[in-house]
Amino acid sequence: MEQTEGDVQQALAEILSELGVEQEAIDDSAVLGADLELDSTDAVEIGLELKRRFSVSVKVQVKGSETLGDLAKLVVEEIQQSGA
Amino acid sequence: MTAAARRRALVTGIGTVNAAGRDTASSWQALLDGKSAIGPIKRFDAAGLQVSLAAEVTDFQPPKEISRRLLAKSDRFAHFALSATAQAVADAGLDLAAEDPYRIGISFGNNSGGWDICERGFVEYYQQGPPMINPWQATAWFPTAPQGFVSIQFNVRGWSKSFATDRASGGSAAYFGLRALRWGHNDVMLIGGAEAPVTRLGVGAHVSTGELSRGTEPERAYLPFSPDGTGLVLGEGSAVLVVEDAGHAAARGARAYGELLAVEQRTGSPEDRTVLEDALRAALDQARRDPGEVGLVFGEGCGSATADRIEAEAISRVLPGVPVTVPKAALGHMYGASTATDVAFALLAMRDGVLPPTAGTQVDGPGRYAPVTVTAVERTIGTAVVVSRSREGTNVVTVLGSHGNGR
Repeated sequence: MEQTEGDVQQALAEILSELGVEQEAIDDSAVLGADLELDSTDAVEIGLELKRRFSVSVKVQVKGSETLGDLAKLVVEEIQQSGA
Repeated sequence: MTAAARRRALVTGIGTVNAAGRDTASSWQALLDGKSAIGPIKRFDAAGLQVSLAAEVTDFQPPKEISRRLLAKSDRFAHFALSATAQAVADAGLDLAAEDPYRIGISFGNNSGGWDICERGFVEYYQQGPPMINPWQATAWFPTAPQGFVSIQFNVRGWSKSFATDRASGGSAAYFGLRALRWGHNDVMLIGGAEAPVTRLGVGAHVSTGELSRGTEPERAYLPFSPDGTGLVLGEGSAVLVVEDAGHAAARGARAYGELLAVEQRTGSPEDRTVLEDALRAALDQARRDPGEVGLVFGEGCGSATADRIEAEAISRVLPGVPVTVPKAALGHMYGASTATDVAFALLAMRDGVLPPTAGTQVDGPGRYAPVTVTAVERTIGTAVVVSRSREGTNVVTVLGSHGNGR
């Protein structure tokens, strides 16, 4: 469980970095749309990378108030459900 | 607008990225030194490709003001265009924030699209399945992508177009770019192009055109206007010119490299040399220059013995004895970026009073179809001509006047 959480956080940090998001902006409380300025194409790419890495389908929301922490939690839940 | 009242177009800024240098000054110096940037392909394993040489841009750093976010979503050819544009705008001293963005436009040439992103997209498609294709594939590969990303980055909103005309893509961009000023659409045009075909698949696809030299000796692989010519060597890079209405330039106190006097385009059979002759005569007529005033010609010189012989005959009929130079022999053929690169060097040749050498001419002696420059020679040049020709018969001729030589 803790292992998974750490893996997901690490993966999200790597994916965001690949997208060109500055390292210091990557924080659990950062809102995906408003703070990280991710757009719909970024959302698609993040979803594809999560699928590649964890074989889960997660809908990444950049229009609302979803934070990076919320997204990480969602991914962990999906991984646990798919493994159950 | 009558011919007498037509707007004058001054080149007030130059930006270049090519295999000889990441900026205008370094690539111009390398050209004057007669150095060739052609060498064995290093970016990828070229085994099995039939072509082993290219003129690659190495150690390229995109400009600092371009965000990593934008770079991640765009291809190498767009990165070159962003760099050349940033250089050109800075060189022109143009404060874009103070300009009306709807009076500035872009006219770019590109032949090949973005192959780095295509290779990635094909891997995703064939190995991972259609749903896994990256979301930027469609917008990043497309030949208009440099125009789009430059427009976004520099807030350029005026009449803008991109052109794909094979080797003459950049020539067509100059043709319509000048017209955008003369028609009054814009006061400032960013005229140029970008190309980055040097990927494994990109080179493989170009081989099938039959245009590429399969030579393995860098100094002998690309021989413009030579009976021994076996084709061209691919280059990559970008060139962007800030071309400005003379009144607009004067109002902001800009200095000019020279004047874009005319660009004319004629199409016909590539075997018919009279089509290029017509383009040359029409361009000189538009520029109000006599053939005797032309001091230097930048030839297309695609390295095909047949095409180059036809081109040389046409040039010699209209401009007998005028020296011909081909920077492509040093920088590779940059297709969409080639005309603006040649125009940039033509303006610098007039500024510095020098005929630049043509790389590779030292090794093969006489016998070229045209009077190709061999070494750098000091010479006052008031008018220069740039020729761009496509494989299937598009001929574009650009005429430039040195600064202070306009009329």
